[in-house]
Amino acid sequence: MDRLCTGALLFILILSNFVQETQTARCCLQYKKIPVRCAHLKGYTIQDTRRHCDLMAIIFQTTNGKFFCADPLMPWTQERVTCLMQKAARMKNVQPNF
Amino acid sequence: MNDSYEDYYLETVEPCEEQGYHNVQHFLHVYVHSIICILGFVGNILVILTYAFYKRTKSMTDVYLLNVAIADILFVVALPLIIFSEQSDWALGTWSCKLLRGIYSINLYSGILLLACISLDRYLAIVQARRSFRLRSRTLVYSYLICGAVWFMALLLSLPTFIYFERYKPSNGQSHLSSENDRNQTNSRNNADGSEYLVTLPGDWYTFQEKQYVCDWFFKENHTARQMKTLVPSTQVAVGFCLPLLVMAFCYSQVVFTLLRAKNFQRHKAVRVVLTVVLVFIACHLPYNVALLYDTITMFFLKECSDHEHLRLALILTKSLAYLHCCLNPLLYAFVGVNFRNHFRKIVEDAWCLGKRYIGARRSSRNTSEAYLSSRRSVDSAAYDNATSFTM
Repeated sequence: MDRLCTGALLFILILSNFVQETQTARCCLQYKKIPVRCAHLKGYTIQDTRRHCDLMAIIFQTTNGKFFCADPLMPWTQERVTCLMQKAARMKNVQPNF
Repeated sequence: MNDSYEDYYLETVEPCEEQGYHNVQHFLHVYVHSIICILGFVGNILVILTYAFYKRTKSMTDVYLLNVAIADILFVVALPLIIFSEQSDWALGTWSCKLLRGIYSINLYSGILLLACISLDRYLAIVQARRSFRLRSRTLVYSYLICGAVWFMALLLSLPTFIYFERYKPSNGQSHLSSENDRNQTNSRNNADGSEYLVTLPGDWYTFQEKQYVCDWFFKENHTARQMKTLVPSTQVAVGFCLPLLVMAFCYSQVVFTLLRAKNFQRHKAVRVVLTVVLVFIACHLPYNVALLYDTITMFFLKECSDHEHLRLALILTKSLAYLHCCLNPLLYAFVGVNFRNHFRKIVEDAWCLGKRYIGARRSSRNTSEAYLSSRRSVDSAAYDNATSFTM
C-alpha cells in the first residue's frame, strides 16, 4: 500500500512537471456591422471552418495594426477585399522600381 | 477620416482570444486526471486479474464485465498519454495523434455500450427469467458475439477521429496583405483549396502567439468540416449517451419492478445497487452531453467571446466528470457482486500467502504458486456462480 501511494505521488509529480500551458487559439465569433474604409485597411485573412474555427470570416487588419472580423457574405466585405487586391496589384507594378 | 476612425473604435469586433484556462486545465491534469487514471487503472486491473486467475468467464455478465474493464483500462492508459503528447507538441507525429485520439474514442463508446449490454443481460436474467433460461444456457458464444459487435461499432463510430485528426500548427487561414513597407515578393497563384491570393508573406502577419502543434480536426473541404463537426458530436450524444440511457432506463426499471414483486430478503439491496448504477451513469455523463449538445447546436451561431469561454470551461469541467465514470465501474459492477468479492478476497489471500512463501523459499516459489493457482482454479470453477452479479 505504501509502495502504491509512493508510486501515485511520483506519478503526480512527474505529471506536474510535464504539464505546462496549453495552446491558445483565436477565432472570429461575431462580425463587425459598420464598414471601415478601404484606406484604413492593410490586409486580410480568411478564416475558414476546416480547422478548429467554426465560422467563415474575413479578418481585416487596419493600418493602426488592429484586427476585426467581417462577414464574408456582406457586400462591403467583398468590396474591401477587392479593393485590397487592387492595392496589391498596384504594388506589384510599383515594386520593381525599388 | 476622423468619422470613419470613430466608427472603427465604436465597434471593435476582434477575433476572440481563447484563454486556454491554464489554471483550470493544469489543476485537472495534475490532480483530477491523475487520480482518475490511478484509481481507474488499479480498480480495473484488479477486475481483469480476478477474472484471469480465479473466476473464469462463465456467464454473459462475466464476459461483459471483463470487456468493460478492458475498455476502461485502455481509456485510462490513453488519457495520460494524450496529456503527455499535448505537452510535448505531439512529438511522435500525426500517427500518435490519430491513434491516441482514436483509441480514446473507441473505449469511450465501447465502455458505455457495454454498460447498456449489462443492463440488457440483467433484464433477461431477472425479468425474462423463464424465457431466457434456455437462451442463457448457451449464451457464452452470444456474449462474445455481442462484445465483438460492440467493439466493431465503437471502431466504426471512431473512424472519423482516425481519419480527420491531424497534427498541425494552428496558424489560421491564408494571409493577404498590401502595405507600403511590405518588401515581400508579390505573386499571384492558386492555392490548393482553389482560393486565389495575391500577396503572400513568408511569415503570417496574423500570427498567433503560440507555435505549438495541436492534435485536432483538420479537413480539406469546408463542407466536410461542417458536416463532421456536427455529425461526430451529435452521434456521440445519441449513441454514446441517449441510446445506452434509454436501454438502461427500460431494462433497470423492469428489473426493479420485478425485484419489488419478488419476496427476496435481498431485494432492497439489489434495487439500491440498480438505482446507484443508473444515477452514477446519469451524474457522470449527463452534464458533459448537455454541454456538448449545446455546443454543437450553437456551433455556427454568432456569439460573444465571453459566452464561448464559459461554454469551453463547462466542457472542460464536465468532461472530467465523465472521465470519473471509468474508475467507478469496477466498484459499481464488479465489486458490488458478492461472488466477485469472494473471488477477489481469495486472490488477496493467495497473493499474501505467495508473498510469504516467496520470502521463505525463493527457489521453489514459482512451481508451487503455479500448482497452487491451478488447483485453486479447478476448485473455483466447480463452485457457485450465478447470474445475479449485483447481490450485495
